[in-house]
Amino acid sequence: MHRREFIKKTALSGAICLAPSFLTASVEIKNTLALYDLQWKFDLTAHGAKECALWIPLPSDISGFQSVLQIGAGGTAKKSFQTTHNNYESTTFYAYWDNSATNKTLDLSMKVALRDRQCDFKRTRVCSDSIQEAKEFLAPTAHIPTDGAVAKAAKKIVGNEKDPLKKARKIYDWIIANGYRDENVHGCGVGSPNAMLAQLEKDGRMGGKCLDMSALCVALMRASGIPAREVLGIRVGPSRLSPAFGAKEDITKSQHCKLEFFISTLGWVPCDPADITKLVLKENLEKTSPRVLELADKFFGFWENNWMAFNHARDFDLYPANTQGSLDSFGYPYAEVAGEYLDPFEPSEYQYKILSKKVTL
Amino acid sequence: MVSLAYPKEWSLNIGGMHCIACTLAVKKALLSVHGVQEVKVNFKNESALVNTENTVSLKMMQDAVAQTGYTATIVAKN
Repeated sequence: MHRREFIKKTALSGAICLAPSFLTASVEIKNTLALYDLQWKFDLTAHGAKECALWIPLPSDISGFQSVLQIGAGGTAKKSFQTTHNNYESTTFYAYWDNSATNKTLDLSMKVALRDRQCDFKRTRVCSDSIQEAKEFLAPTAHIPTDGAVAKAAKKIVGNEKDPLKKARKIYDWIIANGYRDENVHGCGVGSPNAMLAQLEKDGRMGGKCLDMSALCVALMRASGIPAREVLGIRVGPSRLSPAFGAKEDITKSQHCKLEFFISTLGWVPCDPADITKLVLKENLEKTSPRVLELADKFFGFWENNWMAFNHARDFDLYPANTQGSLDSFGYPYAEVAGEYLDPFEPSEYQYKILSKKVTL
Repeated sequence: MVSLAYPKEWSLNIGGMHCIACTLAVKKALLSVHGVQEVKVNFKNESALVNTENTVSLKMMQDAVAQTGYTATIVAKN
């Protein structure tokens, strides 16, 4: 792949007129469209005469929230393609260089349109297929247990509450009340609910980052009978609500995990307890302050249009298959050099940059 | 495969890895042992191939790996 190729997915006017699907029928579109130009640059040349492979999470269309208008790719990869061939149909860009390649570069560019996603909590008709599909997100995975300590905690938090939406809110509030953002955690965290609960048991509170908080929230919701899933993504621009929720033009380290849960009378409902713990830390606020309470209330049912979703995949197999086995999550570009995992937090070994620019329509 | 240029080649079974990122911690631990030259860790096979000088013992590697919360047992030594 030596020349730049662009795939125009849809006309811009078409994206503006997106009709909400059954899944997002309850989501009211209030905000203006934000359009972002993203540039991804990878350089694995430093690895010399070793074969290299990259799997990059890409955004997909999410009706009423996110529309991918254009994706282009260029560089020196011997083989590269876009695929959704995996258990979660997560859009993935794959690139491969054999050991004869002296120059190993990849450039991706994309245009993505985003709107605020706001649940209005009014009952709506959700089709039976969607309800059935959502039930898949009740099941445990390797890193999302729903038994043992998770089941015990869920029972204690939810108590006798029967209404699914009220149960979800109790769990969401409990995560914010007991969690704190730990800046020493690498990346988005490891997303282990049991590790978080063990920390709570030991220290009386639990520290982590967005994947840790979201994974625990998802596990507790699933254990309480509410389909839920983490959504891995990246902040692409400044927030209107707080600098804590935003990003500048270099978004290489701006990955962020939110989550959504499913209510049969509402569809998928977005929320983000982890960003409330980030707000508390970054703005040095008390959890009981009016600002925290107000934003905590807002973030139960809301994603801002400065964050782009990649996928909701956890504990799944990449395609084409990698050497190391199942991935626990897919928010960062995943690379292998001669079959070995490349540390995404070690820039000297793994050179990549992601830039984002808000553009006018 | 790991190169055979070193005096000893060990094949270890690594226990306790729960995700691919754990391979980095195990690799770092093994490389911290004086005399360990080259390490390849595989999450799927729960294994590590280690090339060392003659001065390195299994216990030295086991202790280093244990400090990071994992276990190492020997599969083979050449």
